[in-house]
Amino acid sequence: MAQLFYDHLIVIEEITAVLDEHTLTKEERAELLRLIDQTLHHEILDTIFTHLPKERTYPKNTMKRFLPVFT
Amino acid sequence: MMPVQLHTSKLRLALERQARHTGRKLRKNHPHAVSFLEKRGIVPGKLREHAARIATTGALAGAMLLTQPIAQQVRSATSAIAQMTTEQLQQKLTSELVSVLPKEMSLLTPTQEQQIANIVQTLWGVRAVPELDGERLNRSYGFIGAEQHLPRFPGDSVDQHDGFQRSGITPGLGAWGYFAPSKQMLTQDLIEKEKWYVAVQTLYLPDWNTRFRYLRDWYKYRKVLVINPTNGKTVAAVVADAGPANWTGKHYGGSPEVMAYLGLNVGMQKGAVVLFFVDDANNEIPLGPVEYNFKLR
Repeated sequence: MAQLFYDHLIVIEEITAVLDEHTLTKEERAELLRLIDQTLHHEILDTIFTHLPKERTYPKNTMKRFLPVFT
Repeated sequence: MMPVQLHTSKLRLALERQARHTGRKLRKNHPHAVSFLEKRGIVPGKLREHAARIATTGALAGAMLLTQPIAQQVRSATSAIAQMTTEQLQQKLTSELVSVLPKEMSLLTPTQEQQIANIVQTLWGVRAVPELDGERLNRSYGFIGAEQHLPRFPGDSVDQHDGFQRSGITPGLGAWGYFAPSKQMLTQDLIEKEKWYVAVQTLYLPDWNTRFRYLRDWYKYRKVLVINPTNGKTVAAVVADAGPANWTGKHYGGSPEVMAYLGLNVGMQKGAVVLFFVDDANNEIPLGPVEYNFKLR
């Protein structure tokens, strides 16, 4: 699985441990984790963008400085 | 102590709702940032898949570096696709889909969906995705069955349609009503929409009733790509009707034109297809048969 730069800050093991207490098929487990991952990406990006200095957030210079880390 | 029974379907629905909610919140709070990412083909909720693609591309590039210049390799691969005939592209699509699709009809996994999206992007130059704007149908691979023509305006009749008149016309309206309020107001664009339409099972979406107004508008004329994996024939169509019912054993419906192009208007008039949304905000992909690579034309 590809690593993202904030993975070491997120403790997802607690969630996977709870899921693993139940009898899930491989596909069910993957699908649930994918949805959790999706929510995490949304929330983390929202938090990052919210805390970027305002004067740099929407003038395009911040886009140029920060967003390309994803590309 | 025995763990509490987990209702996976309920949990899945709740997680889907949460993912959609956070996606909408992100888009609302930071529209410019989301737009920046999407223009570069990055779906915010799929950062990990994107990272995996980059890693794969990097590894591939590294391997190519050892053999021959990258630019030359990329040029030759692109050039090979650009020079292929429609039939060759369809054959290649078929052979690549065979290795991805399940042997029996079943739901696709996220990995299979991503692989198919990559294949379609490479061969047709179309960004086709199972999920768009946080919306997805209950399935992206299923059986399609033949539908009749839809009435396009009050007083429309099958003999006013310019093809496949033997397929007939539905006695009632499509799920979104008439295409135009009168014959005079029927544009060429709307004619094409009726000609290349599909019916999808919006009625079975888990949130159809709770988000009806939004979903009704979102699905109306939503552009989709329909692929017959047995012959590689691919068609761009729009959603213009709802159905079919589950008891029919079919998951989508296709207009007479769609079914004929896909080669499914014979025998039982039913067949397996991949159906993805087309991410085409600028409306660059015309409706009808897809027969060349849109990026390389």
